[in-house]
Amino acid sequence: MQQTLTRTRENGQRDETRTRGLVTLYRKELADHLRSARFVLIFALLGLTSLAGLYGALSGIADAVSESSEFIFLKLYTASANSIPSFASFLAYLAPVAGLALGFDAINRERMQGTMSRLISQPIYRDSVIVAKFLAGLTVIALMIFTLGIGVGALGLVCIGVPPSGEEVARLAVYLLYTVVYTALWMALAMLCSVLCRHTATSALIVIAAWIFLTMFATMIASVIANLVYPIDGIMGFANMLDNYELETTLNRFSPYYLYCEAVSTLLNPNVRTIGIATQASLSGALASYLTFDQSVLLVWPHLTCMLALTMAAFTAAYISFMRQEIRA
Amino acid sequence: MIEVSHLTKRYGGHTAVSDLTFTIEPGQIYGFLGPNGAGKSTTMNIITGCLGATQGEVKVNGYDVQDHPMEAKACIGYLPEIPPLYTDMTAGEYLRFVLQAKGVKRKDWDAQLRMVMDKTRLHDVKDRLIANLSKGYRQRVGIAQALLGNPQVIILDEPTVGLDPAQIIEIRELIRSLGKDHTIVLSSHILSEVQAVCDHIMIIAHGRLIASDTAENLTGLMKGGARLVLLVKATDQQVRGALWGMEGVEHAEYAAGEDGTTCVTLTARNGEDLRETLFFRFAELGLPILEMRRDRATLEDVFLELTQADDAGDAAEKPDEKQGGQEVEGA
Repeated sequence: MQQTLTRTRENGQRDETRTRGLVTLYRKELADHLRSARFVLIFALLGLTSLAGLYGALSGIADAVSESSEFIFLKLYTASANSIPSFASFLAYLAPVAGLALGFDAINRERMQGTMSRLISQPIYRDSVIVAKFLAGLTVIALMIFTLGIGVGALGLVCIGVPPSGEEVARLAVYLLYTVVYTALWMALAMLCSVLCRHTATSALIVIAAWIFLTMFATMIASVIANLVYPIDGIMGFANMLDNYELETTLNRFSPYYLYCEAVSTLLNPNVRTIGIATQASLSGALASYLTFDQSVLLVWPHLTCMLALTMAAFTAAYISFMRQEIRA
Repeated sequence: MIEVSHLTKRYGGHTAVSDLTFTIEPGQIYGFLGPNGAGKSTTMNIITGCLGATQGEVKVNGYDVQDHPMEAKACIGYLPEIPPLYTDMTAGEYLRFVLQAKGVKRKDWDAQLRMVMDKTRLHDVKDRLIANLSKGYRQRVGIAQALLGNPQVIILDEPTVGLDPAQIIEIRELIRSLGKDHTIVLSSHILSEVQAVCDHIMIIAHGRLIASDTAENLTGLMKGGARLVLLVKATDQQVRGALWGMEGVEHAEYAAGEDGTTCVTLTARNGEDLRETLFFRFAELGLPILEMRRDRATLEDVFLELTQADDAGDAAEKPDEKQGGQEVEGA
């Protein structure tokens, strides 16, 4: 009985120590991020592009409404004009930059400065360091994405004067949450690089290369591979078309950017009824209406869970690598 | 206070620390002395819980560093070689962060901050960014953070490296004053510093503890610790004649001076004190002794002799190892 009480007390003290260390480091990291010039720059970049996206949407909203007068508020995020991409497109390209900027030197900078050994020698658990860094980064990402999303909505509301319906608000909330997870995935990948690479410059180069490859070149490469395996020219072209499309889509879905874009276009456009090829058979008997919110979410559920799983996998890899590393003063 | 037993740390094939065993008693200043690469920092890192040991155990205040790291770390204040500080914080902000990390109760913060700032004289710079502080002040901030939480043991790894002479003196005085309330382990390869500050010296080489005692005892242990230097107004031949067959003289070196004097350096057998005997012998022969002094071995001599002896021991072991290997191959 006495032993059990002692053990319970010890466990309680350990939990308290763990929480205290985590909270202390989380606060410090959050303060560091929010006070850093890097955060101001990234936020300014995303803010300016969001304004540009909103300007494009407002310029093209009249044409968009003439095509369909439903879900006008969502068009603030998806409509584009005058060669200016939409807010959603801007965010798909640039949100990863925020994630990368917050994570690429999270661990190796501390190692290079020697502050990691100082932290580790304090009475705090080692994993608190990486968990606190991730949570602080996640908070900053959520803060940025929701501020931008709500800001664009508020400005758009002033300009168009059409309030959002409940369903539009729900779709936007899921969209912004999904964007947070998407950005967190890039941050987790950057943190993994910061654990594995000794120098911050190396990890920065690797994550930037990965970002450029996965957002710009992966689609082209997927198309080339699909065309090589299933050529759509020549006599067999027509027969290969479906296989070619399926292979290209499958390869594309290895890229978080494509996965994100596919899900976002479904969430913000209720008229998107399928994420694959709409065959004659699947359209036969379908009601001519928009997809309801829950049906849209169901359609992109694999995308949402996959993105979350990828984020967790990247963070877990970073966590394990960090815990296995030796830290010397 | 700190019990290190059979501590071994290997990095791949390289053994940084080998079967190290020692105990640190409370209330003293310990000097941890050794050449570069001797394993000092590795030992410090293991004691402070930064590194895991390959074998052996370290107990701080009865807490095993591996099994109860939080309790053990709470007993230690640690200042690594280059004070690793968050340079974008002010000194005050940084110390408050360390207070939180150490789990000091909020009501004690002001008192603790006042206490460490008094000791390290940081009041004037508490609102300045650490990036803008001189190296001496950064070192003070590093020592101040080590003092927070009032740990029983303070471990300082090369605390005066890179400081100017005035700052070195200040830091040494600070360490001496801290030694009144804390047990201090000071790692250094600056012999004069260790000798000036520490009560007890541990010499480590090739990851092994090769000597552990007070500075006086270590110099006394040294071979030739009882050397005598005599300046005699006589020729070389006369001095040789005077010392011929004298009991207790193990070795003598002669150097003839230009002014008709001879300087002789004597090594006494078994540390015997020969001064009286020598005085009477030379007086009997009418050879005036102009100067006679004990040439005691310095800590530097002790350090060099012990570490070089250890090097020689290692070199002697290697052919055996090689031979052993050949035998295995042959078998």
